[in-house]
Amino acid sequence: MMTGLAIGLVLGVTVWWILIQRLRDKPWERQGVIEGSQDGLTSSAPKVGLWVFMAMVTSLFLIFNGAYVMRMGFGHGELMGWVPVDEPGILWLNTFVLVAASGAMQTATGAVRKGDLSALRTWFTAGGVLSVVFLAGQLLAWQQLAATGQYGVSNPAYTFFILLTAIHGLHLVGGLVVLGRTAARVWRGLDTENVVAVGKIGQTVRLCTTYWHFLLLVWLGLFTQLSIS
Amino acid sequence: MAYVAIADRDHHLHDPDTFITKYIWSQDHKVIAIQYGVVAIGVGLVALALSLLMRLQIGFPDVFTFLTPYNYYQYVTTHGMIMVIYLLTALFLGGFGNYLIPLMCGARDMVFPYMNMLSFWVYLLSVIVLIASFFVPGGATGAGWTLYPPQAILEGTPGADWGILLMLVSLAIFIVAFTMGGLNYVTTVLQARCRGMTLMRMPLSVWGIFVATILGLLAFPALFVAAIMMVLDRMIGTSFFMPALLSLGETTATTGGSPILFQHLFWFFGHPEVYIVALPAFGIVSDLLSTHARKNIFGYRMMIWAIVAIGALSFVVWAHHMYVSGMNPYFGFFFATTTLIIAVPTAIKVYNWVLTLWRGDIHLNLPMLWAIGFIFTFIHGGLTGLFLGNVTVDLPLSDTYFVVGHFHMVMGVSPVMVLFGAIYHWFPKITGRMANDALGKIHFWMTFLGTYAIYLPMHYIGILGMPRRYYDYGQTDFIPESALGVNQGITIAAIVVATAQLIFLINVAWSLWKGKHADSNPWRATTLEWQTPDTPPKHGNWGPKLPEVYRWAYDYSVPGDDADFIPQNHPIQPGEESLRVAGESRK
Amino acid sequence: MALAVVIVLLVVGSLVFHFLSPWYFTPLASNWSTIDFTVDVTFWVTGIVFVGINLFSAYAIIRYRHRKGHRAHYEPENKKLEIWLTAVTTVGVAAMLAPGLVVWGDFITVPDNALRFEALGKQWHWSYRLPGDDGEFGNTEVRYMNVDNPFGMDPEDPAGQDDILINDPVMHLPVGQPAHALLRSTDVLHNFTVPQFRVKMDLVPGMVTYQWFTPEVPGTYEVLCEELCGIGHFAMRGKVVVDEVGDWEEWLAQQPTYAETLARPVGDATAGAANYAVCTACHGAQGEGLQALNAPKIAGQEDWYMRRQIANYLSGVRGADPRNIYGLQMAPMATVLTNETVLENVIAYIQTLPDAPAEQTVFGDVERGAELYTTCAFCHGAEAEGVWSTNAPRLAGMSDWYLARQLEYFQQGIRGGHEADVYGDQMYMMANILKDETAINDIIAYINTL
Repeated sequence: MMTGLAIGLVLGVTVWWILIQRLRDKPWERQGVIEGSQDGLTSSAPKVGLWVFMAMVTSLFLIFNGAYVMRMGFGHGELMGWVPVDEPGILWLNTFVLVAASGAMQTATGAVRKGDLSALRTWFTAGGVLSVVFLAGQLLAWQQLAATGQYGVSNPAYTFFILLTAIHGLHLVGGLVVLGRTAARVWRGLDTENVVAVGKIGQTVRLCTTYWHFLLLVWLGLFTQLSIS
Repeated sequence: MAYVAIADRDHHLHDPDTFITKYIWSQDHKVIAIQYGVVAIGVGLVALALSLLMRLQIGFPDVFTFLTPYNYYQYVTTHGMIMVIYLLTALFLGGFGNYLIPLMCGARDMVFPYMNMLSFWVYLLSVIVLIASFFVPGGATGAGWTLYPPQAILEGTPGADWGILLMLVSLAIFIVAFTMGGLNYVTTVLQARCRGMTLMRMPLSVWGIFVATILGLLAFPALFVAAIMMVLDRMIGTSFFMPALLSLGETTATTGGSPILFQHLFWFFGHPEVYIVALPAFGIVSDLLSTHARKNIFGYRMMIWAIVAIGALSFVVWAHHMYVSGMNPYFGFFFATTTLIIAVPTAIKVYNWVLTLWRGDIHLNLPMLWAIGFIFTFIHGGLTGLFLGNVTVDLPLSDTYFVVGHFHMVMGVSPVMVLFGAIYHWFPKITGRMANDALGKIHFWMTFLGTYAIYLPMHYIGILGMPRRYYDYGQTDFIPESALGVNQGITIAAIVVATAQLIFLINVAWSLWKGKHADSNPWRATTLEWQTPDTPPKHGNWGPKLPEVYRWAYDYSVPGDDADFIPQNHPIQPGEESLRVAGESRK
Repeated sequence: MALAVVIVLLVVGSLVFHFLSPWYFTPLASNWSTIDFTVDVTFWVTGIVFVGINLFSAYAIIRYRHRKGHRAHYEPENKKLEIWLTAVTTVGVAAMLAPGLVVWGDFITVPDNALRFEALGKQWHWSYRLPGDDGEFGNTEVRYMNVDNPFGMDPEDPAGQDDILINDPVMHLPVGQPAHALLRSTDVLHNFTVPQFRVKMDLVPGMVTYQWFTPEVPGTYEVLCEELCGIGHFAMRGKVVVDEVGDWEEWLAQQPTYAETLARPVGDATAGAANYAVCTACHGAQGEGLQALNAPKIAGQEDWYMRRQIANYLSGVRGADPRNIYGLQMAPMATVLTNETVLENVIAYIQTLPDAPAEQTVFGDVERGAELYTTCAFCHGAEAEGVWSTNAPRLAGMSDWYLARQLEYFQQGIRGGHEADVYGDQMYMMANILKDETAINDIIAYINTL
């Protein structure tokens, strides 16, 4: 139910968006060239693509959330195998690192706007490094949990914890692949005078930043959800 | 200021020149569409063969030695999964979505062509993994296409060792492929339409595919989640779906899991999936009816609202597949109500199709036969949906052959009618040749009448109480001898329908080789894909200059115009406006 | 043109089929006439729409087919018509939904005076439980389940001691009293359906689901599993016998409580040796079987299986068919086991006999047999060792000529044909997957290798 409502909300936003595109038009009455209408492939296509992708990932995590809540409701407590997980304190540190990564990316975007190449290099790379630190911290959290020896595979509170952090981590890894390739270009190629190339790199940096903020939000949601076990 | 379109700017950069880049590793949406189509139809033929094997067992239970319960349940499962996912979803979105979206929107290609190419190859991989499951120890899974745990991963089911894992992995791969394709379809519709192509000027085909893709992007994650969790339950013994169990005399180590959770996840994907298949069919059939009736689609705006409303509602009806699943019975009230509400926009679409015929100028061309055939089969399948969607009526009918009859009518036969109509309709554009009319008509009549002969009686043996997914009915007192006779008749009809599909293949092969050359717009249609400078369209679709759109997609038989159609890219003629208003006021 | 005519013919044909075909609901045997009423309402509403729209489109196709000089009318939309159609559709939908919701409300509200019973589904058979005198079901857990406790009764729970256990797929219910079926599964999803009662509900492992109905017509009804539950799904059958109240009480009095099943005498092998003497003549001193006398090997066979077969012989479920000449011989011999103590003693003695594999007398294509055996392995076990939870006896190392004969008997319904022989009925359906003559020999040749 919860998931349904959440997805309904996402869909509602989509529908609303389409509606503001004037779905009430009577197209047979509006003839000829319409000023300000679409005109060929726009340069914001990658941005829209990213937003569509993030909508899908949101749906993925909301559904995971629904599954988590339902499984918890179906069998809470020791008898039903659900032993709440004592979250390792390092998660707070990881959260801080991810916030810092997001901040670094934001600063890098600012550097693109100002055309400050050295700041872009520094902050963009910092964002990547901090993300790797975050992932390492997550691995450490897994290790700490495993080391307690209190949790078995038949405990869904534990397996959900591993599964959800892993899925989130994989999305971050996917982002890091793009970030890595772009970073290489930033270090090599920004000296060129090619306006198109520079524009493309700037756009990728902006998209990476958006994605990083998004993954931060997902993580904050996950962290909250996993705390309520 | 208008942006310089990227595709225009570096158009020459990725013009394919070798055979490999042109036909194998092609990034051209038209080639990818054909690749998707060929693979989907190929794997669909496998599923068709499997259905015949099933029918042989049901019709003639004592004859075929090689049909054991083990094989039977494998065939049932794989048949269903292929038809729903690997044929219908792939062909409508990967096939027609790829082909039609850029052409109908006036784009040179999809916005992310490389990802689009990957989408096909990943899809092919998922098909290979699926087929491979027949050749691993224990063979393919026999859990039924719904793959309900605990059954699907316990020893009492065929393929519980490897088959189920390969099935789940294949689905996960398919979802990755769909995501890459889907991002393209949505973004292309939103960002790559040509000048003048407002959303409200788009043909309904594009609308249907567009909304269906959004549904897919939001719904497939549910299947993905379910698949991952089931793989973990099977591989390392987690307890997501598995309570404490005693399976064939052995207790499991699992505890507390919820089998119903899986069903919620599955149907949260599974019901939108019905519309992922249906909405493109709705859209395409609207265009076929309009073109061949030489009349604008009746109630264009209403059609779009209905598509959007159906799409939105499809996320809040999923549990109507679960009325008798043991879920909280109070959900029944909610889901029965939402389900019957969704019947209203669906009915409106049907009315509008029929009203498009009314006062039209109906050319019963080959694609039109399929389109009208679709109206009939869809009315039938849609109405029986009102039985199963209504929670009380579902009680006696759930899990019987009534269900089998219903869903084959509504999401088997009906979309397939549209697919064939669409293939015959766009065949001249895709290949540059006309499909053979006589063979096509034989194909149509055998398929249309044959499928009705299959599925109409199924509803009644379902009402009688014959359960689905039975390998053999043995001696069951309430089932009369005559019901076995019905099953034999159904099996024979199924063989006839399968034969008809061979005629289709022959037709395609023959027409490719010897078919009459088609001109660029044989159906005299208004939409952009018929206005390309070349037929079949070349890479980049439009030659040096993108088209411009001045009117909606349905200017058929406009009063005062000599021709009975005006293409979307024809500029407005002086005085046209006033004629049009006069035409409308005549009604 | 042809298309329009065909559509009209299909509409007429569908109506004729609907009204004239003999395949329709089985006669109602429960209180749920309201369900049938809702179905009727739905048929009328949808039927009118089906006929109306199709005839309209057929008429449109004929009237507006392409002719020279004819031109389509230009009409983008007609708001009034569309609103009107929407309203009519909404009314029709509401007419179907309203009774549906009301009846569903009845279905999920169980009357207070309902007789509660539990239907337990297991791959691939049914068993039942009644709460006994205290009116309360005892606690059950999967972890308590074993061959001696197939219901998983909690031995510590006092409420369970008087629970009546029916370890047999046939349930009796009194006519005219609402019955509240609590549904429990211990392995996979099942579904408890009696078509004549109209209602059904899934059994879900890990939880208890329910349905209720009032049986109103005495008689015997088949219970079908209607949720795919593995390879034996189609053979998972049971029965509900609706009795007059007096007959039902009589039947109920004969059923054992949990406490009584616990009190079953423990077999004494030494005492059993003496009673076994009479069996020796045919089955051999070591229980090794003797083909010349048509007596199979019994040493090494599972105790629960022998217990049930003896009971079947005694009650005439087995060995009463005149075509079963060897069974006719065994039936009177079974009466030697005069009471439960003797029976348990003999079974205990047989368990002590040496279990040497029987001599191989049936030969065939082992490879093909292995393929065919895949299906059998689900119940009898991969090693043909027998599995108690599926009620499937051991086959490996037993008399192969006897297996061959029993398979033939099952195929012909000589065995398993008796209406009270529900497990035999299952094997009757399964034996029929061996559809050609050599199949039996092939499969037994393979079992001989195990």
